[in-house]
Amino acid sequence: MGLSRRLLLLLTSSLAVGASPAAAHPHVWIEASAELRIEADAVEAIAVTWVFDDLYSYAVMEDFDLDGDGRLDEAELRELADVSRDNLSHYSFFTHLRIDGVHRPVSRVEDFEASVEEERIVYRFTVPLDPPVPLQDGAFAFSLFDETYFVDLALPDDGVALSGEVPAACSERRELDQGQPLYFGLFYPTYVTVSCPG
Amino acid sequence: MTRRGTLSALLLLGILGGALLFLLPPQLAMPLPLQRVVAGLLRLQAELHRELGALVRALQGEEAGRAFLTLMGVAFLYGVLHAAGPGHGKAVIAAYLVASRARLRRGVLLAFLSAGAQGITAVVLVGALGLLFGLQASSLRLEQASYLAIAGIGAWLLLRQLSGRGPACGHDHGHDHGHDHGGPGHHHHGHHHQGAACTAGPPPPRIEEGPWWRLLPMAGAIGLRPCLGAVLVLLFAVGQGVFPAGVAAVVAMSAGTAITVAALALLTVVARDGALRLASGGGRAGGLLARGFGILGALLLLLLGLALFLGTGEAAGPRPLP
Repeated sequence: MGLSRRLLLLLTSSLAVGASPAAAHPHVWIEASAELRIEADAVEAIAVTWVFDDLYSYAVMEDFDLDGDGRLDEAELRELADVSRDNLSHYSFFTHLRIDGVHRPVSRVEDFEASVEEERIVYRFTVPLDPPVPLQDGAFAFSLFDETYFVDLALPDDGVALSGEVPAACSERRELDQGQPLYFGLFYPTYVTVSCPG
Repeated sequence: MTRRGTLSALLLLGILGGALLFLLPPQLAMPLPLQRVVAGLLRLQAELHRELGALVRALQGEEAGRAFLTLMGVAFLYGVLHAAGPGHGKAVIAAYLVASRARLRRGVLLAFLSAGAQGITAVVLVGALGLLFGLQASSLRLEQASYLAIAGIGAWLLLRQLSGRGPACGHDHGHDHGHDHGGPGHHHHGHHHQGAACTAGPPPPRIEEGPWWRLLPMAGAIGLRPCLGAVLVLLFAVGQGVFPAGVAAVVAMSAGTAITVAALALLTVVARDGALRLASGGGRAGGLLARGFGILGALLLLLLGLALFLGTGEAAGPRPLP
């Protein structure tokens, strides 16, 4: 019906970073999970999964259903993934790394894919860490957030998994990063530190 | 100078400072207890948002009636919370109330009128404008119109202030006597018709506010910008084939939003009057302060409107969107 043609643009038209905080409160909610791929006691990649909320998912499906058949086919999903990847590349893919205490933005991801699962939009992509980051001394931390706070990303307690050659004793710690006030200083992002001593 | 007066002055400064956050990059951190409250409210908002989707779906199920009632409640609460964060509409209302020195009742009415206008804008956008001109184009134009109108009202108020016809100068009444006398804090019975009342003499009188529809330009200017939350609910309702229920949900959301904004309006008016009373013992200082508020509020409106309008120009640039 063409009702929400290019809704993505509508959603974001009011939201240039810093310039127009008019829609600062979140309008999109994501349930996220992350899988750390480990090799030789170091993280070599983070595989991130996002599941979008119902309302936003519907708007996107409507928007990218170019042939109007009520579903997103292969080509339409590809188009969605491409548009989103380009957008997100300006925002560190909402994935923020802190290595040895130094914040590092993510400028490139691999295998960016969009799909529809149970009527919700799902994105999957992989953040390569080059060189891999050793896990011994708690040098590796990451956080998933949108610094403009248009999108709220939730990483549940069981949302972080380790895969590959996982060392025996790994622990996960979460703490607020007080160096990065967000949303008019109303809260700090939570960073997840994973360390595997030995 | 009472302690209460000082507190009021501080509160007012806080509110205006909050409004000014919109002109500055966010670098400050708020106190931790406040952050905890905000985090809790945001989690609740996420829950409610999830419920909204589920309930709109349930409207076609067997318990549609019950789903509808629950939807109204959830939409209302969602509106309350959705408006609870910093937002430009609230900054504009605070600035306007400081500049215009409208009474408490007017402040609350303004909150309800703007929330209602914003709801209407969402329905008209999804139901008509979006179909005719495209959602994005219509939305952007509405938003720009809103910001320009806000700046325009700021400029107009500022001109009136500077030309000595602002509310602080005791000129602007004489038309509508008999309105709202005896409202809270209405102490000044003798009106001051002498033009010099701006800078000298006893504290300035409250302005007579005239009929309620004089609030409409300000409410309309704020309400022209469509609320994305409402637009998303409406789109979803259209998709589920229940547009009327979506409209009802937007009405409930707007009512919720109005409650939150009215609370802020109330706080602003109380703080403003407290601060003015604080200075009212000081004769000349009271008049100066009142005039200062008038100019400050108007200037803030003008700046907010312009900054927000210029912000829309960046729409051509990169977007944060997933």
